[in-house]
Amino acid sequence: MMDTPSDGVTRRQFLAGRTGRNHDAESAPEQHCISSAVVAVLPGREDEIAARLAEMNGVELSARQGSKMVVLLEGPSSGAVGGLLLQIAVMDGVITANMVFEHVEQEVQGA
Amino acid sequence: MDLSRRDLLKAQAAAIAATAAGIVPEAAAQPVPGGVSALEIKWSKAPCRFCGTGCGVMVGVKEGKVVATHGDMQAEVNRGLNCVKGYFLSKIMYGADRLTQPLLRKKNGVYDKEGEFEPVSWDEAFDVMAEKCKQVLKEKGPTAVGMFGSGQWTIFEGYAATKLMRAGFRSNNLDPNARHCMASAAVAFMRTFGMDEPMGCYDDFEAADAFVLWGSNMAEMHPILWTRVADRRLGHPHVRCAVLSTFTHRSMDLADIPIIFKPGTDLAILNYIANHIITTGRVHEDFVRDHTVFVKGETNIGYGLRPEHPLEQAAAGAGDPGKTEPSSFEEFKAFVSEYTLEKVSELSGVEPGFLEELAELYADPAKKVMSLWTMGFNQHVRGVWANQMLYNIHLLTGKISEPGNSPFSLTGQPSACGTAREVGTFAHRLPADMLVVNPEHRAHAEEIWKVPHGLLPDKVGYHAVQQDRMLKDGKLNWYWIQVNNNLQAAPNNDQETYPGYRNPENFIVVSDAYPTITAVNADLILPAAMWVEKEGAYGNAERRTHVWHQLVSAPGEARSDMWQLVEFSKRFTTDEVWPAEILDSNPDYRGKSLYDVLFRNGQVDRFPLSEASPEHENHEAKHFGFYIQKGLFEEYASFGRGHGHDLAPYDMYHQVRGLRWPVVDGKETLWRYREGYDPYVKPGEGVKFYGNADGKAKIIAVPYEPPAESPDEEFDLWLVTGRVLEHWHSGSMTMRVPELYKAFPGAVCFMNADDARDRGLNQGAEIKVVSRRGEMRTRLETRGRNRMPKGVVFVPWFDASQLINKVTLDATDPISKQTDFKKCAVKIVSV
Amino acid sequence: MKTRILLALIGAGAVFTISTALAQMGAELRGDVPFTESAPADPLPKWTVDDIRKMRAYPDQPPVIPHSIEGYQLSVNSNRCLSCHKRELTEGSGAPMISVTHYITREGQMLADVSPRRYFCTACHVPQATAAPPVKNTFRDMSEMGVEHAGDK
Repeated sequence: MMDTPSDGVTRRQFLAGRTGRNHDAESAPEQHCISSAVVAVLPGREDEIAARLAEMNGVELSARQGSKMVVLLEGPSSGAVGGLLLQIAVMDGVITANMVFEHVEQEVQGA
Repeated sequence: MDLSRRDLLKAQAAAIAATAAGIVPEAAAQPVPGGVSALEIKWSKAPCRFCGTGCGVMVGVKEGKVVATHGDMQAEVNRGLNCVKGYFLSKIMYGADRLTQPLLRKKNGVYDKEGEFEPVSWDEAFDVMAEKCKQVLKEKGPTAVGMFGSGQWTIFEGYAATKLMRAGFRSNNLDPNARHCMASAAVAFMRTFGMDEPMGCYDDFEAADAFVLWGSNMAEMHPILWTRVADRRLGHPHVRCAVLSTFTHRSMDLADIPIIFKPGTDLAILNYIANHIITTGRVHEDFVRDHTVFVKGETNIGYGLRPEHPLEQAAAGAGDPGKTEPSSFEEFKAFVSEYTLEKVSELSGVEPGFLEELAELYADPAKKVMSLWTMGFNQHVRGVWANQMLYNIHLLTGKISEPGNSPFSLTGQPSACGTAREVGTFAHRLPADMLVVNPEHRAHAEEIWKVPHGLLPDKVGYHAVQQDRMLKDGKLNWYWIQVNNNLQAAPNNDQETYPGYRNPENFIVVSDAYPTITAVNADLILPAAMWVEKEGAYGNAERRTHVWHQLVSAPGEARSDMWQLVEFSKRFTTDEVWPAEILDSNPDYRGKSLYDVLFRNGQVDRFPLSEASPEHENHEAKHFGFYIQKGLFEEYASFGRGHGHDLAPYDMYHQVRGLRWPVVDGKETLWRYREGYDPYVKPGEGVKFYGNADGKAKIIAVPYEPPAESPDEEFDLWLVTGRVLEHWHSGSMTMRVPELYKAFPGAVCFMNADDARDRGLNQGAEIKVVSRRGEMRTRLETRGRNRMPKGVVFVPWFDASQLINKVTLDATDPISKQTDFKKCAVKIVSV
Repeated sequence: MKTRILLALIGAGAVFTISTALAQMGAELRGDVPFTESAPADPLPKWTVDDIRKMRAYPDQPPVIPHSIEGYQLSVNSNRCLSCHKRELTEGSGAPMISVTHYITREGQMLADVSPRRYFCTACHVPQATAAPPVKNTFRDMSEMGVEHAGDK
């Protein structure tokens, strides 16, 4: 049932070259993106990581409880905010960073 | 973006993330065990939250959250299987927009019907709600307050509601959304057997030689029962399957006898089968003589529309639609004789060969037949008749109350049977099949509830559709809606439902877990705990009562409906709501709260907290200080024990995967009314329909009568509404599960390709479905899972962005008051 | 579509914001369209067809279908799904084999072929549209709960 496209390449091969999420990437220029994420950190490293988060541009630490933190992320696009989240996720001492809320404000409001 | 808006958005973003992370004061902190136990998931049993099948699931909990679910291997219903909805139960409680605090419409800090929703405390919510209730009771009396409940209520919730409404506020204006769902089935059971609910059970699936689906798309709506049909049909070559419908759907994939009939003509087909059985000499004469009586029903009974509607004015029999008079086999034989093969084939549009094959499944004494039906039969302006006419066929052939021979009414909601029917949350019912109009029944209920004699109201309350009409007309002014989304579900809702909710004279309260369309059009929203966030009990379609523990905590300040009902009762004293003459003759009740007389009556509060499971959280029991679920259940069970509705001791249900009532001496009953299976049938009696005083079931002579509205020149198509496999209960839960949303993201209008071409419409085009009552926009689908005959369109109603019930007609079966969502006239135009 | 999602999320946020009046609160699944108005209908779904297996949310979840199944026949005589996913045919098709659980009867007996009770695949396995859900889901994967597995390092 693997349908074969007319150029002879199998669908799996053809599609494997594509990144998974391209349909999400809208490129309207007039945007502002606000997101929030929950960051889980290793016990004992909370203060150190909080300090590093505070230094990042577009990142704001909004709440903390135990080893969980809520951060606010702002940027000109969904991709920029995603980049911030990735930076946090790969920080030493961070277990996970998961986006919870995302709002993209279009400067011209559509109906 | 201006600064204040940015701040607002950031505050919202932070609040949502904090809730998700559990960083809120209300969320109970769960200890995180370390070491090996960190890998472990705690598994507990529960019934599925969705349909009336009642599958068992195992629910895995970790760190206070449900992290996985799977089919329960030990549950007899499903033996390890779930449908796609059941497999995604893990996610239903975690939609990001869960309601976590009461919300009240306010202006300038006080309640205002035209105000905007603001978060309030439970105290403030209940204060305003109680004040409105007292004011309405004082000015207009108990008939102006009402409640709309649900077949998704747990047994305790429904029972607490019926006590509060009837014995507390003295109003029978209590009805469940199950009215829209299976009232016709329930009424037909009572009229035929004198007792509600099926005589058989799911074990019939493995014993039947033939299955006949009358207006049921089990492949999508009861997929797990369909696996049992498929297993039997595909595994045993002699088994046959007939599927009757007004269009081709997935269940037809298994059909040996596929029958597409013109809407409403199923009545004629049923009488043709009875005629065929009689004329071919296949009546089981001994059975008919010993166990049945014949009656004739009133005819021309109208369509349950408003009384001034021309159709009602013209209906000679609308005054007493349920009237019957005694008749005989000879009269019945003559009555059905006009339903000949030729005539019925012509009327229904079904090939004579298929009709004969179908009739032979029933007529052949060697074939065990299981008939199954749901909304096609029940949501029918002659739904009670349709149900009864099918019993006629099973009774004429004696194919009933034994393994494999089983007329079986399926249900849509998880506790339509357990709560709506057995507890008796209908406007006319009391627990255990008792009726509010029967003085002995009322006296019995008053005795069990330990409330003064003469307290319970004796008039039938407003049923579902009538509640909407009375809200609109300003006669019902205080209204509490729990566990349902009636503004989306009710027929003709733009004309008949919405105006009542926004009527300035009315105060509308909605308890829900999510901001449904009903909730956001109310005046007060109460956040509800759902499913395994509370201890619960459901009753499925085969009389199986199934209990579960609270497994996780509800978010924020969300509370179970039972908590809401019982806690709210504390705000009323008997002096405020009961008549002076009752208190004069029963002075002991003076000055007590409704909580005292209804829930601290020495019965409901009989079991101490220590009897609740030490391994599970139980928010309600802790709050009230006693094992309230057990107390409510045991008091309720005392209605049915010894009367054919016996339930097991409550604690037993925590140990088993449900039990089918009557449970006598710890043993469940699989087939009722037959000696050897049913402990209520004595040795030597053989078969006894003991719900009726004479022990006999009724065979009724009723005719084919046309639907309320049929297509004409302008509105030239039949509209049928219904469901899809992936969504249930108006989509309020399933649309919030990403995988289920993506499987069927929006409603569409299924249409015949020729019909579309005739109108110049292409596949995928945006169209309007228009009726005399309203319109909605959707997309045209000429392919896909449903294949429509010419002249019929199908639209599912789960999608809140496409309100098909603006289009439907509020015609009901005049006997059961259940809406016909399957037959009205529409036109399709391009947008 | 995008706008509808975003407006829906404003509503979602408002519910959690303690001091904000919920001015535009709408039913999330309707976007901001009031009850009395008729919302425009989204186009028919486009299906995910990348054939890339999607991770399950938990081990017991039936995998979703990463390809279109439009026009597939599933009847007594023909089952298009099995023509690729059945054990004997997976070598040629490259499709994943249906799980061993599907060979077990209601009574727990292992069969040589797929159990008839598992015959109708679409009762549990569904294709996925590319449309983003209007409401997010905060379900947490158990692997995010600080669990270290053997073999992680």
